[in-house]
Amino acid sequence: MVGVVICAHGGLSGELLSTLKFITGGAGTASAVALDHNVDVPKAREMVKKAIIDADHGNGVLVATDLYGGSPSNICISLQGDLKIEIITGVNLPILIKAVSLQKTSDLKTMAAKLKEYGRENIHLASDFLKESDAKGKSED
Amino acid sequence: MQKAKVKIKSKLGIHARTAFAFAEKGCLFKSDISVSSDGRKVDGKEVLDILSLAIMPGASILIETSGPDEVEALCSLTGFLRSDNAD
Repeated sequence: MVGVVICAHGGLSGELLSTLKFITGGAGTASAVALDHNVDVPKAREMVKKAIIDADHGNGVLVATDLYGGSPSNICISLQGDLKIEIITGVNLPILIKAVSLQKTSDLKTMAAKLKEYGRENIHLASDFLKESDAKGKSED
Repeated sequence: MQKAKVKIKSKLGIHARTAFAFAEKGCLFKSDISVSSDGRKVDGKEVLDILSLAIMPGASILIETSGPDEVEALCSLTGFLRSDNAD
């Protein structure tokens, strides 16, 4: 199984994890690391490293961060040489829900590539759906 | 191919938890599974595709299964949606 760790600013990672568990009914395995805005970087690096090591059951860990270029991402990137990880930035719930579905059956690299596409594909403008259903309604009139 | 219409009785329609549980159940079967609502058909094994249908309380949806275990799949999924677990 591929491990999943959410790493983000402030309380975001904990809230994402809590919502993910609510939606999935606790299926899958994921953990969260919260990085305070004023956290000491070496200390934060150790926290993140420990979370990743704890989550790794031999098949590597998918680390989901909130913002490319932000401290959580930068800290994770600095660990890339030491640990078997793939880092996906711009985490959203679609990515996490899909990660839980894939973590038992997919390998780390394939999973990361799929999640990147999935996260992007599942950002919608609700008005596009409304236009679609309006157009359909008119064509049926 | 097997198909069945199901009326959604949950007061919240098919929301995220229900969609996840439905898709997870669907993935246990080899058959292809689709869900249709309001003229749109999506993959019944993809939670966010199901959510994109925005299925409201009282809506009728069509579930279609096709493959070696299509009967069992249809039975399991319709049973789930008609149960209290889908609330």
